[in-house]
Amino acid sequence: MIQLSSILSCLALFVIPIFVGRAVWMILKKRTSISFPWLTYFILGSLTIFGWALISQYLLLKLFPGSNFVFLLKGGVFGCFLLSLGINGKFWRKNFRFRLRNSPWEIVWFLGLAALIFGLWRWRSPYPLNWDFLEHQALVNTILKGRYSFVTSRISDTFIFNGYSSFFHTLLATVQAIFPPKVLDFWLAISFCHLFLVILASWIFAEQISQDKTIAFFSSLLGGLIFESVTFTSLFFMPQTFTAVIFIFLFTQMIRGAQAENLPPSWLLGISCLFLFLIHYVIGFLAALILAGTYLYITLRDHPAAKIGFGLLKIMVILLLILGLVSPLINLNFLNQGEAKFYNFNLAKKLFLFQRAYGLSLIVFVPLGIKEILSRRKKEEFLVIVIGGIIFILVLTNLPYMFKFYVLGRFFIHLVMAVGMGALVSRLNSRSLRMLGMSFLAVTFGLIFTTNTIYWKEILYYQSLLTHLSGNEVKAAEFLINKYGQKSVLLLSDPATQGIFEAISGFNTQGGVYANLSTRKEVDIKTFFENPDLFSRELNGVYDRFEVNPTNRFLILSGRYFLWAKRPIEEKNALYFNLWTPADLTFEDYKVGYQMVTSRPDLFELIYLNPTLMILKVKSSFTL
Amino acid sequence: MKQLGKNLRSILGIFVLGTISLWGVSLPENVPVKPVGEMLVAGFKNGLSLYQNQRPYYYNFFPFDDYLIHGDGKRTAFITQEEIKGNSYQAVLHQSHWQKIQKAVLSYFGLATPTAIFKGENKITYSVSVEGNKMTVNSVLAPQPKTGLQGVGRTISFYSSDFVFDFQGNLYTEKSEEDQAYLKQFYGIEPELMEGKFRYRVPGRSLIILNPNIAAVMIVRSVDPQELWVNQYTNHVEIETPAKSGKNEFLSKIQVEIYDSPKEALRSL
Repeated sequence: MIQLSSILSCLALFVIPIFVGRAVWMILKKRTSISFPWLTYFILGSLTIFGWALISQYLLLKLFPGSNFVFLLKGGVFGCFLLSLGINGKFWRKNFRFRLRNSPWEIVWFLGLAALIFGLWRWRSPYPLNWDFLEHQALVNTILKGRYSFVTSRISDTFIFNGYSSFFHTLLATVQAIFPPKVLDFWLAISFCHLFLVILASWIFAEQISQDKTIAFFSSLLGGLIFESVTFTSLFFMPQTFTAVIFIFLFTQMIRGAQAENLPPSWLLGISCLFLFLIHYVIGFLAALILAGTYLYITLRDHPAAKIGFGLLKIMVILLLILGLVSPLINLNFLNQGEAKFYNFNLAKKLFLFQRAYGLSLIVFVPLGIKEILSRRKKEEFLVIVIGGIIFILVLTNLPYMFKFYVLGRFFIHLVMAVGMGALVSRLNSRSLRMLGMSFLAVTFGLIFTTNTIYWKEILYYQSLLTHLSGNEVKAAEFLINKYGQKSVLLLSDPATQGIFEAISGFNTQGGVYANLSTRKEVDIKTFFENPDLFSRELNGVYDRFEVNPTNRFLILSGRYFLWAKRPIEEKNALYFNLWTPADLTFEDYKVGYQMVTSRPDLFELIYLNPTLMILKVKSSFTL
Repeated sequence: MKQLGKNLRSILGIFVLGTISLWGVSLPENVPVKPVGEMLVAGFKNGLSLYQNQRPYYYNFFPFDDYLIHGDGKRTAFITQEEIKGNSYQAVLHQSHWQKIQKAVLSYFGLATPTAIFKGENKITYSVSVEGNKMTVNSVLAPQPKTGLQGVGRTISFYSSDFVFDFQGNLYTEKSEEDQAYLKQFYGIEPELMEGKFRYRVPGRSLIILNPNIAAVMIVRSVDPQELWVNQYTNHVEIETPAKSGKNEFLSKIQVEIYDSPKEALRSL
């Protein structure tokens, strides 16, 4: 069972910004009626929290040097929340019965579908399957220790590339400071909430564009059941997927406003674009561009100058096609210290990734959907084809990280597919036949999701589980917390073990999963066999710019660590390579640990042992 | 009538398009995979193998190693060298792509186990049944040769670096003194090396295989009237089952249990 504090922490991520944002809206005396007001409140509230964090760090701490950042953050935000209860009091009393646009059956569908998908996904997987949560939680842990900056790489050396600001992590740190959760439970809870929001967003988006609940049904089905590698939209809560969900809500808000001839004001669009950009620079920038472009199209489409705009759009599409053709000649694999090479997929690989997520349904239903949209001649649906098509062309270009843009594009592509599926079903003239058709397609996509899950989790076998983490690793982390909780500790191991322990224990490592080359060399066990004293010196010499002189250095010899040590040097040094699955200690592994502790007790001391790992204290004395 | 036709066409269209969508899914090569304690069992093109994820050590149940024992004492493999060289046998892990999809989905929920069928001069079907950390590997030879079959020898391969020993304290693989000292240090076990022959009948009904490079220990058990042998020359454990005349097919079983350490394995006695 997930702990209550973890659930509260997860819900607070949405509730606190909404309340604070509403209060800000009232203070700004904005009476303008907007659709999806809670979305606007959430954006305003989140930006307020981020703003407060930056003010605390860059102003208040300088004015009052003895202050504690976490206290200021937690206190300030919780104070704002309490204040907002007063400011919003009348509003919430008046609107106590939460007026849902969706019928109760639709809510049951969203929750039921989310529960079913989440259950299928988590079958035999007791811990979060989102590997990236490790680095995000590591950053949150560091913020909660009082180290803060706008720039992520200035908070933790796990972040070597600043792909986003610390906005996302500030929100997480805030709620975890107010309601301290069990970390693993928190990430399970937030993953479920995120999946629910993806399904909800897919439904609302499709219903607004098509005005058809059957299409909305199929869009929500695809939204939840399609899980793409690299983008991970539906099941992983991370900056790029969070950006995508907020973007789709914003896009829907804009379309609803346009249809009601009540577009959101441009300043609100500006703030929303800023929000998206701060969460993820690249995805947010594209999302902002799409929002701004759509806004311009809606406001200026009847303007005489609109023809120039459409002309520019056509030129842009042609340029994109040319980019797609010449992209194999452009080499950007050096980006992100060479990690980009691993994310530069050729066309065959991209098609394979699509096939894994969709089977052949993309090829089957997209053309059907396009044909149906062209025959229906609805402006909004045509806009969906244009935006979806542009993103799809970008995705297919042979440049690094392009596939990540599909995190935005998938909502549009799914809507096109849903229109195709809806057209098939609508030809059936009896309700029971339509239900049969819809059920069959639901089961089909359920099976596609299951086979995709099987493929995705295939490498994660550990005993009878499919998991990134083991119970023994969690127990070891708990041991470290209980015994060394308040002490200065630097953990040393292979990158994967480092990343795991940094997230779940809260202790620091050099770089976590992204340890630098120097650290990778210094922790390599082969040095012990050549020269134990040198190995000890190297371990003591691992330099972490945030934990320069730790009191305790612990070497974690896990089954993973020993497997990593046997890999070729290219893999050991590669940022993209990890041991994704736990491994228990073997007879040979035990021998090594035993030798280290018994032959050189002056250098190493065993402080913890379980079937998966042993933790050695690295003693700091050595002869010069 | 016109509406009925339209409905039929539409519903058929939905079924066909949905089926095509599903047909195009990608599946891992070796499905189904079944956990057995600390290890996994899966089908490969040469047979079934027991292995541990991320570690390149495989304990194989292959028709190229299993053998028929004839009345004159001669032995022939289920699939002979001539058949291998002439490529005149067929290995079947799945009957069709749809069967593969079905097995993959069922195995995700623990409801399917791997099978492998080999068709040469003999037709042999390998299958497993698993309960927790206990696995039975079945092989069905059908049809059973009408005359002259004395028995069937089933085999499990092991590595020369493994500790292979029995509960009577006999060690069947040569290990360094250092390794034997560690075995005693870690698990209190001190078996003595058997020397002088290359093939030994195991006195009891159980044999332990400890691979120093995987985090698991295997116990191979024989049941009456099977005989348990260790062949140092071929690095195989051999389980010989006498034939029963008058039967159309020959079913033989190997029982394997997986534990996470020798201590756990010894407690199972």
